[in-house]
Parts: sequence; structure tokens; C-alpha cells
Amino acid sequence: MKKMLILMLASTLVFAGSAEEIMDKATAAVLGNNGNKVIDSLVFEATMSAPNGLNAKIMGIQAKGGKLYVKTNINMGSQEMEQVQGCDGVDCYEMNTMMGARMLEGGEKSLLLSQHNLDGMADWRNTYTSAELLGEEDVNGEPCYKIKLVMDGDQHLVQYVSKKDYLVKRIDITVTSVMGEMAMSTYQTEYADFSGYTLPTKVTMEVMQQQMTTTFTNYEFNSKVDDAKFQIPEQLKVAQ
Amino acid sequence: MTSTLIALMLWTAPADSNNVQLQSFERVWQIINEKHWDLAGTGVDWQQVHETYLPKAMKAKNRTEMRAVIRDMIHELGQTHFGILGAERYDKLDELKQGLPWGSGDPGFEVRAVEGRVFVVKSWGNVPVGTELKTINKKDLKEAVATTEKAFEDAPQRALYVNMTLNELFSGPEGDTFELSARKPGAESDELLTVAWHAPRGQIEQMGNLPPVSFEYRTEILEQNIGYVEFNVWLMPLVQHFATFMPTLKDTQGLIIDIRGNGGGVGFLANSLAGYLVQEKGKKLGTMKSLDSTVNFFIVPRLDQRYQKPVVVLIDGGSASTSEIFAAGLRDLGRAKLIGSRSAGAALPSVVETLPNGDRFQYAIADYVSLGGLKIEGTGVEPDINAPHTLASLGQGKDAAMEAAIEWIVKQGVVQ
Repeated sequence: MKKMLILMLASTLVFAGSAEEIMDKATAAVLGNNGNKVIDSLVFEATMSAPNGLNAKIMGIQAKGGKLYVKTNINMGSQEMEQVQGCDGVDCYEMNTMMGARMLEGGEKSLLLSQHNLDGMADWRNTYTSAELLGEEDVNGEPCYKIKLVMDGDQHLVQYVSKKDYLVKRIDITVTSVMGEMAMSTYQTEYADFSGYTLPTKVTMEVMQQQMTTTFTNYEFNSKVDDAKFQIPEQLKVAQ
Repeated sequence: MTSTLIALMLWTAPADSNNVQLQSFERVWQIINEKHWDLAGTGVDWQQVHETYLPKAMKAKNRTEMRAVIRDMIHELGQTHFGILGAERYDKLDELKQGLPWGSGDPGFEVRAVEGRVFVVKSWGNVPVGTELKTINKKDLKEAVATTEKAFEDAPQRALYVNMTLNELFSGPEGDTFELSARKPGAESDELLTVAWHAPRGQIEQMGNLPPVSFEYRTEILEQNIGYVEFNVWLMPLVQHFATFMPTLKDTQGLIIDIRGNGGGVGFLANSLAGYLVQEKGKKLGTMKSLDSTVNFFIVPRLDQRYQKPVVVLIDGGSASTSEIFAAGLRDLGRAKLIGSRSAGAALPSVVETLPNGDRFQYAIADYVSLGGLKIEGTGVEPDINAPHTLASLGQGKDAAMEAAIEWIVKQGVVQ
């Protein structure tokens, strides 16, 4: 019995080691020759198309210390809607025309940070508390490592890292929050070079049997950003 | 040479078109096969349905015939929000409209069928509420009601379809006129009325690839110091309208939200508006369950404009989808009294995809369950106080549900 326990622990350690190694290689694949450079900020622009003929323009700013500001302008034909999501390094919020303003908690906060944490780009350990190799699986015919990554709290996701180039090709996550429980998969494709960093230009999300495609048109590193952008809006500070 | 090519192209168009029709059939079957949240639970062998209908689809010569095949195939599911958008209703409307002009002009009133007859139930023109309409351009309206009710007699949502079809009979070319044989409330004989079609009173709005709609919104402070708001569709402009309207209600003794005849729209606008009425954090109007997700219609209380006075929501057989989610949810939270008549029972959240042949296929992606566990699809929401239009109330030019709503709100003030 003791032997079996030692064997089980050993195998977990071996798997944990492999997962971390793969994640380190995945980080290196994104950073390229910029491994030693400090990333202070990242500004990105993207467009998104969604079912029912909806489309959106997205502009995001990320800064060191888990700071984030993402503005999405959704075009719905004759109507428009603006949504802002942000984090000041501690708290995260969302404001949109339809639902008003609210603080993000639990799974929604974890998801937002996992998608846009600049510190996590430099080292995955800044976003995730542990990594576990679940096995191998093909994504669109490409062999991948399947790795479970745990975030703060109970939230976790599964990343599929290419065995060939160590770039992330798919992410599965079930987000539990005030909105309910939403299972989603994202597929990262069409990687391109941006100032030496290798990043996906197309991300297709599958959620509730629907597909939404985000096309990143620009990534700009270390440009000067206004720190005021990351502050929690006054109306939400009052509510807290 | 060019003319020969064009001639060949024209001649071969139907063959190509047939291919597009068949692709549309396959796409509809595939979407339901892949995206229905519980196909096994319907008890329908969907593969067998494909084998049954494919030979019929292959024989369809044009879009109209293919619509019929697709409609019959979808009908096997027995659920709403699956269909070629509006096709069934428009087929019936085509038949009823024969001899009547088409157009998007507004006649200045809204009608309902009451006991097999057509009555004006809302008016913003010269034909008063309670007027019985007997003919339009000499076309018998009792017969039109009978035909429409017969056409939808098997549909649980027949009140919705009859209501929509009848109202579209009265739209026509803007600037033109039509003749009504009508009896006004209290009158002892019929009279011939000439009515003009005006520009739609609402604002034309388009939501993604859905057809354009006229968004109508009206507010009033009634003489009993009660706020009143009515709107015909749940679209984004509501957000701004409500932000302006709610502060004006500060000193009122209650609010009536009239969503009779409102067939739905953007689902999350229901919880958006509920944010003005519900004080506590963490509340929701119900839940939407899809194949792999559960989405809450969660309410974000408005930080600065919460309304705490009694609220009535008016519903009827024309209140569908988002309107039902709003009504059922607020009632379950104990935040609104529902008055009127049973809602449509058509509450499945859906999306719309354009098919290869240009038709728009609407399909449900989830099931809706209210907070109290009520599945609205096919059953509808029963009001707390049943107050439908009746011959007696309309004969006096009265709106039974409105009167009941005012009475209930005034009573709450007395009780307080």
C-alpha cells in the first residue's frame, strides 16, 4: 500500500514536472528572442464577428501588475453598444450600456485576467497556480499536449499546446459566475510575428453552440499608456 | 456570344437555385442536429426525419415549396423558435391579403380578435378603442379571423400568430387610404370610415441580420399619478429611454409596464430593465439551459435609479419570448403583479442564420426555466389577475386590463 502511494506521488510529480516544462516552452514560443525584455504594456486592436449578424471593434490596453482596460463597441445594425472591462491590479469591473456597471467576481474575474494578464505572458506562473499534464490530443489534426491550469479559486482551464511549435492551439474553460455556468472553447490560429513576439491573429470561440471569431489586427508593445485608464470608475467605488 | 452565355445562365438558374434550396434543407437539418440542447429528449428520431423528408426536398422546385418541406420537417419537433422566419405566417397573410394593398403604413390602431370578431384595442388615430371592425375594403373580417384561427388551431402559441397576422392585414401603402365598415362603442349602427395609412409611428430599427422593425415606445403619467410605459419590441433604444423615463416616476404611486402584443427581442434587456425595479443584488429572472451551458438572466440593480413603488406588468397572448421572461421573472421575485391574459408560450432563446437560398432560419439554442421552475414554452404565463378584453368592456370603449391595473395600484397605496 505504501509502495503504491509512493508510486502514485512519483507519477504525479513526473507529470507535474512535464506540464511545467511544456508551459515554460509555450511561454518561450511566444516571447521568442524577447525572453529577457521587460514588457511594460501591450496595446491591441481587434474586430469580432458573432451570430445574428453582430460585429464589434475591440481596443485593449494591458500593463504590468494585472492592469487592464478593454473597450468593445458592438454594432447591431441600427443600434450600437459599448462595453468596458477593466482591472486596476486588484479588482475588476464591467460597464455596458445594457446592464449598467458591476464589479466582476469569481470565474468572470479569473477568466478576464487569464485572457489579458500581461504578467502571465512573461511567466505563466503569474496567472496560474499549478499545471497538470492530462495527456495528448489533436487539435485540427495537430498533436497537442493537454494541460490543466488552475487559477486562483476553483477556476481552471485546459490548454492544448502544440507538440511541434509549443504554441497554444485551443483553450477549454467552464466559467462559473453570476451569469451561470458557460462552457467555452477557443481556437488560436494564424500566429504571426509582432515585434518578435508570436501571437495569434485569429481566435475562434465556441460558446452555446455558436461561433464568434476575433481577428487581431495589431499588437503594440511598450508604448506609453495612461495609468488613469486602469482606475475603477467612481460610480462603482461608491457602490463598494 | 455574350447574349448566348446570358441566355444559358438564365436558363440554368433554376437548376442552380434547386441546389441552393437543397443546401438550405440540409443546413436546417444539420443545425438542429448539432445545436439542439436536448434532441433525444424530444423523442424524435432526427436521422429518420432526414430520411423521410429528403426525397420531398429533392422534389421542391422553388423556395416556396422548399419552405413547406422545411416547415413540415421542423414541425416534427413541436417547438417554437424553429422556422423560416415568418414564413408560415406570411403564407397565411398572402392568402388573406388577396385584393388588399401591401405596405408598411400605419393605420393608427391595433386590433385583437375577441370572440371571433375584430376590435380596436389601442388607438393613436381616429378610430377609437372598442370599435368593432367588420370589413376592410369590403373584405369580411369575421371570415379572416375564422381562417386565421383555423390555420393556427394546433399551435400552442395560436394567440400570438393570430394577433400578428390580423394586425398585418391593416397595414398598407403610406399616404393611401382604405375603407372600414365599423361600429364605434355605444353606436347603434355601422358606419363607413375612410382611414389613411401614415408613416410607421415608431423608429425603424435593425438588429443584426433580423428584419427591420418599427420600434414603438410611449410613456405617460396617468391622471391617477401612475407611470405608464408601452413598447412593442425589446431593442437597445429601450435602455436610453428607460434611463430618461425612470427619474420622472419619483413621485408616482405605481408603474404599469404594458407589454401586450410585444413579441420579444433582445433577451438580456429583460434583466437590464429589471435592474430599475429590483433592489437586492444576486437576483435573476430565470435560467436558460443549452447543450453545455446554463445562463442566468441576472439582474444588476441600478445604482442610482431604483424604483420601489408597486409595479404591474400587462400581458396577453401577443406577449412572447423576452416579454414572458420579464413578466414571469418579476412575478417570481414578488416584484410585479401580472394582469391581462395568458401570454404566448413562445420563450425559447434563438438565433437567426441566413440560408444558402436567402431565407432566414431561426432556431432555438436553449430552453428557458423561470425562477419558480416554470417552463413557459407551449404553456405561457398566466396572469395573477385575469382581465382579457371582452365584448362588454370593449363595448364601453374600455381596456379591462388597464382598469384592473389602475385599481390594483391605487389599492396598494390605500393599504400602505
